[in-house]
Amino acid sequence: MHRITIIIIPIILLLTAFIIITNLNYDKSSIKKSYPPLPKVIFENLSYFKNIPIGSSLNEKVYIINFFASWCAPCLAEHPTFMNLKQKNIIIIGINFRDDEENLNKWLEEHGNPYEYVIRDDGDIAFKLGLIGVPETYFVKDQLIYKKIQGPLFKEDIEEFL
Amino acid sequence: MKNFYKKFILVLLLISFNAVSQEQVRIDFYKTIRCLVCDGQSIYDSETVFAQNLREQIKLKFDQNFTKAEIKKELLIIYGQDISFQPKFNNFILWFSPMIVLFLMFCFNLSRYRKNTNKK
Repeated sequence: MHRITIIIIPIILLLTAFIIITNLNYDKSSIKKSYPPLPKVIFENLSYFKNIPIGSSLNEKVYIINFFASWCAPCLAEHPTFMNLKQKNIIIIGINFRDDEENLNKWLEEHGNPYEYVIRDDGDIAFKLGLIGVPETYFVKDQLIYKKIQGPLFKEDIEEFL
Repeated sequence: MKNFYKKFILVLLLISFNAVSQEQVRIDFYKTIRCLVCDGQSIYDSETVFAQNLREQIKLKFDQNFTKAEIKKELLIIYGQDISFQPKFNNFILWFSPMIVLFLMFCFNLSRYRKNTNKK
């Protein structure tokens, strides 16, 4: 056997062992994205229809935050899920993202309003919450984001949360 | 009066030059931020709502005199490492394993070459 082979084989074996060991110890929770804290601006904001700051009347420990817009087609796909949740008395905060006021009113009139509170956002809240695209839904437990769903929300997504 | 016009034009030029350089700083910064909707593009190139919103929010931060480092730090907290085109250097094995393998192959071939030349 060549001398060099005798050196190389243990090195390769050691390297492989090192990779395997580091992967065994790899904590999968560390790759689970931690969510940013809920920005205060949500609770300081006046609710669009009620004209009161959300923080003053929101007592629930569990609620849902949903980003939506009248120009967003997938928002319409998830709308029946939210209407269903409203019937189950679950509080939903609707954040209307970069939308026209008139279109928002029309949209809610036409399809129904499942939101306990509606906030109009020109991008600031979306930025602070790390929004990637509408629709996007955040499940909140004890003022912490517990789960985030990108894209339309369907029945299966909420079963675990409920 | 002539002097006044000269000074006026000079001030105008300075203001516009400053605005242009600030705009350039912003554009350079946008180019280092990845659009999370279309992964290969920066928020400067992308026309998604995400990129548009991020550009506006970053512009607001620049207007509020936040430094580039402060804005980048905030973006990393909110979106994680994905948002940056210059991720943290923490994948040592991924980066260096090809070089290590190449080095080992080189050593192996060198030894074979030497052996063959010795035989001759």
